[in-house]
Amino acid sequence: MKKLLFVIILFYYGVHYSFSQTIISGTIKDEQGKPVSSASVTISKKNTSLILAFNITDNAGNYKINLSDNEDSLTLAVSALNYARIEKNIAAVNGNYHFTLTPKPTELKEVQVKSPPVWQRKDTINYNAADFKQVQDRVVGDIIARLPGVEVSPGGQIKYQGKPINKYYIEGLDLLGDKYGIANSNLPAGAVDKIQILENHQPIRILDSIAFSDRAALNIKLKNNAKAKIIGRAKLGIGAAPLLTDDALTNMLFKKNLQFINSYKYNNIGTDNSIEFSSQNFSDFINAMQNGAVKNDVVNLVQASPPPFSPRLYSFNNQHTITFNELIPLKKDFQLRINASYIQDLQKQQTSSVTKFYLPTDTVIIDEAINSREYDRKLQTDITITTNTPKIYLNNLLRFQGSWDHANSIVNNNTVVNQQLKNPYFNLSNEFFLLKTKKKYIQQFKSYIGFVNLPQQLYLQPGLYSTLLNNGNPFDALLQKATKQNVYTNNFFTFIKRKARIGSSYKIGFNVQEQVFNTGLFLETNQLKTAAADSFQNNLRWHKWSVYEENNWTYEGNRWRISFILPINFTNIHYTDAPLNVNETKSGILTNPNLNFNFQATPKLNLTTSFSYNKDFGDMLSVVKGYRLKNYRSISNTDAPLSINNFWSSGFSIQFRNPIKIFFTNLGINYSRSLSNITFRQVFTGDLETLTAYLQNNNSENTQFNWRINKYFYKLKMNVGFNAAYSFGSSRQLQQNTLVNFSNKNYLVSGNATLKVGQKLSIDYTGNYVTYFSSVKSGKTGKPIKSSNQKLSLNIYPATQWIITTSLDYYYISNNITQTTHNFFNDAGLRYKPKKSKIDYELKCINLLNQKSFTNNMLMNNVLSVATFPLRPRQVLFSVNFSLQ
Amino acid sequence: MKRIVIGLLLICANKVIAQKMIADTETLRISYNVSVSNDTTRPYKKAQNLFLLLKNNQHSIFFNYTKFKEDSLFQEALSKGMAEEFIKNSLKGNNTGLSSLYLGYTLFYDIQQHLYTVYDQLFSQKYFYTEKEEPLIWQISSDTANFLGYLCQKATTRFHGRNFIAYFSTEIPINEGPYKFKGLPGLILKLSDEKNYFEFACSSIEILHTATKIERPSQLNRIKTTKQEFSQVQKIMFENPFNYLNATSTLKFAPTGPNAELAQKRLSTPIPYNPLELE
Repeated sequence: MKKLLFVIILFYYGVHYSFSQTIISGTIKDEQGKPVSSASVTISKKNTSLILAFNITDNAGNYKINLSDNEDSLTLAVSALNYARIEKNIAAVNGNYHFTLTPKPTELKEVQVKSPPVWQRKDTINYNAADFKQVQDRVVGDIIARLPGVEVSPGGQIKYQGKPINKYYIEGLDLLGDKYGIANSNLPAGAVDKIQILENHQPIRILDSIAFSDRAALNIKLKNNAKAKIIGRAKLGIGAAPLLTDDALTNMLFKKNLQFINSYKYNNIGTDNSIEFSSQNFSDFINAMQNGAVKNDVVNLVQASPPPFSPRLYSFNNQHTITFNELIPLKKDFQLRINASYIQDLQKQQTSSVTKFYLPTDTVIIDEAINSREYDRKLQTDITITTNTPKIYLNNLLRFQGSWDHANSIVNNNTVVNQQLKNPYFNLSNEFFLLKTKKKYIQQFKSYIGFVNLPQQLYLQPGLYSTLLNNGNPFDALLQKATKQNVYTNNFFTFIKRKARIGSSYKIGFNVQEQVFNTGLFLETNQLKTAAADSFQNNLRWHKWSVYEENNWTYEGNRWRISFILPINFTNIHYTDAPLNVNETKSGILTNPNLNFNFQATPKLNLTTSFSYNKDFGDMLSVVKGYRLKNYRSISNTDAPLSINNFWSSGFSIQFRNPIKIFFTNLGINYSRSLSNITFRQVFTGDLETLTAYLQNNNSENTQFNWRINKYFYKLKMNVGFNAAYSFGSSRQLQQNTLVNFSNKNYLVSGNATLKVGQKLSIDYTGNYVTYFSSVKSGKTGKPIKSSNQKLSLNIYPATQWIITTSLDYYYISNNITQTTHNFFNDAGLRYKPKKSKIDYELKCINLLNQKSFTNNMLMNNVLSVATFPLRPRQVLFSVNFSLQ
Repeated sequence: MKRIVIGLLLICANKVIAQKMIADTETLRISYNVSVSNDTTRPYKKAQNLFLLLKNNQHSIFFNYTKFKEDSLFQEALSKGMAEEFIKNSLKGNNTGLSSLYLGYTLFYDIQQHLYTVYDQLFSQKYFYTEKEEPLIWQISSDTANFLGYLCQKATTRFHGRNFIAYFSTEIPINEGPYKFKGLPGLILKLSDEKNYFEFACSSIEILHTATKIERPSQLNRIKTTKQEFSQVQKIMFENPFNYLNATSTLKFAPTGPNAELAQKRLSTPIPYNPLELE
């Protein structure tokens, strides 16, 4: 109170003004006579500390104060850090005052506010969902995308400060793993209370104090009223023509002892809802590929190559998707998670295509009309047990993948061929991961084990390949049975170390593959099946094992980054096919080095170069000696030992960026060469192709140039990009007993422009022009294909409740077989959500110009294919979205 | 009244006070809690960061400690011999995202030459430029308030289109303050603009008795530019991040999928931006 009084009194005195000017100046020096700069010279009313005027001394120690106050007697004070303060009472008249300061350490009260400063708080940022929610928002993902520092990629990946998040928790539990898209696009926005960003989150607790994490995690906290009960979302969409519907129902529960999200979706509008189930983790997929845990059919239907745009325009689907995700915390820090998804889809497609094979002696033309119905059912179940304590991290994933796919197709190709395909796939696998830390390194142990079964078959009516199979006598039907089974295991230890700028890791492990490939070709006459000759049957047994070690070094300098990987493995392969007298063993040491340099020459200029060499043996399907049918017009076999493939690759790129001028350009050159000891021989008997692999060195080369340039124009607020690419290559194939060298040339020019007109309108343009040439040394070839695509899109945001979108696409394709085609597509959409409503409305019009079909052209070596796809007709869909909470 | 009460509360409730002598060669370390409303349509949404001001008799430096800590944590992880797998991603991109877009700057000040070197970044690209100090014209007022146990006097100034209110204390006889605010006969302990979009509140004053050299941030891979050019690019980036990213990086952003139009809308939405220096 005393202080307040003091302030009031001071204020009272402070308002006394006068218009007379008094100038007080002088010089401040130290004891050596040197000027003291940065000293404060203040004038206050006599015997108070309240400053009326002041000046700071310049480098010459001079000060000058203009005083407009009309005080009788004043105090002049000189103070500077580490000098004794000087005070002098002066009169309020013009005057010169010079001072000499004597050194004296300044006394300072060191203070520190005890309440934790920002950096000491736990690295958790809480966002109130209500602050960020907008009228248009339906699901939590819409809010998340708006949080500071958060970006969401088109594929649904969430990034915080430019890096992908490492966990997506709901109420602190990790229900969905890396398939968090299920929650992100289904959890109602209205049920969310807070969104927490856990910065520098280390999900593996054992590494908490050891390994620094630069990633963040998200945690969704729900409103209390949403936690205890089942909440969800529903969507009802109806449209024409024909009768269209797009519906969804999702329910979820988030309790401490149980969490689940279940959803059911159905549509026949061409949308693929199974994208939601896709994993955001790519390394899992590569690993699965290597172990055959990815569906790779051994027989298939001939299919026309699809148009170069989104399947929603030509996919005649009928798709149900169901997902079931459950998390139960168990005793003793263990957690059980079950994630299952089921997809059922019936796709109908009617295409017509012309395929031309330009051969040394003649040209084979295949004219096909394909009418197919594909019926797919896929189930994936993951059961995960995790323990994550400060002492140990253990994760075990048991996965079952099943696919019960079958398809019927009628091909009209002079003769009508009726095809029935059964292509199921089963995979049971287990992945075990254990992590321990030692003082100087981290130890990992991983073990994969799995079983794959593909019992597939293709049934053709009438019987084809009669010359080859039945001495030219016709028969009723042909049945190809093919079963591939695979048991695999891969186990490795990794030690990871790092010292300042050099990092190294060492990996040792082994893997084993036991595979069986049984095929049988049967001729059917009068419902009676007889096996074709022995050369059309396979009983292949394949045993492969390898031990490997991999050293990995990286060096990080200020401007340099060098990494060198040297994997070495010893592989032994033994395969037999007793009836065909096959009994081979192959073994060897394979080294696959990889070297990478990156040099940041200046802040604007970056150079990268890389070299790699890869050598490996062929896989089991490359040594199938007996003939097998792949599709109705291709039969193949291998008459050669196990292939040895060599692959060299090198690349160089230079990049210049001037972010101040918003200018970017990049030039890249890549060269690759491959050498295999196997060449293919292609022989046509009428339309029917026979492919045989035999021993002869085969070389192929490819060179690519790519140039990109981008510039932003400040005045026009427009971004313009341009891209040019040129590539050429060569490869060889034996055709009708003549060795043919192919050479390909490919030009691409593309451009894009984005223009933003205020906050309510944005215009986007992209366009490209491609020419594809292919030539054969013998001279016969297809003419180049020229194609072009231009897209213009317009987005209007008139008010927060509304979004209006419209786009126009133009496709141009020209070749020498069919007429030049011009196709235009026009889509439009409207979205409206009233304020404070749990319901929103959407109107979508697709293919407004009602384009009936699209013709696509492909040229590959000597094969030209032209495929015509019917398109979904003009359709209008109205949908309503509800939040259930 | 409110200010005084807060000031008193600060003294009584949560403060450690120690008397220390400062010698000529020593460095002063002053911390400021900085809170900024980047979105003027939602001024209650504030970005909070801790800044440090280090000062010796030749130089001073004002930098974002929250951000620095992220970097130094990373360096520490590196020197401890951390597993490469866990940190190599951070080496690839020195991207620290949106929070550092607003408050990622460092001001290095040469006291003799009255010259600033400003170090800043836009997404992953780092820049620097020099800027001559423009002396501020301060109006001293007779209002006083207490901050951290120091009696402070009020002063006002106009700085690049905004009016600022500062509280300084002659008990700390240095002419320093947060950001580019200096030239008062004592340290500025509290500074804010009249709309309270920008607030700098001193939270600690310490004397570093160990010799601390004030070093410039590394100029490696940093582009030299001018203040004018930098603010022009900064403006583009905030107004149209989609265009800025597309024009300066190898990545291509083209939203697809069922919610493409929403994604497109988001990408086209400007990042809210409220520069301290308006003019």
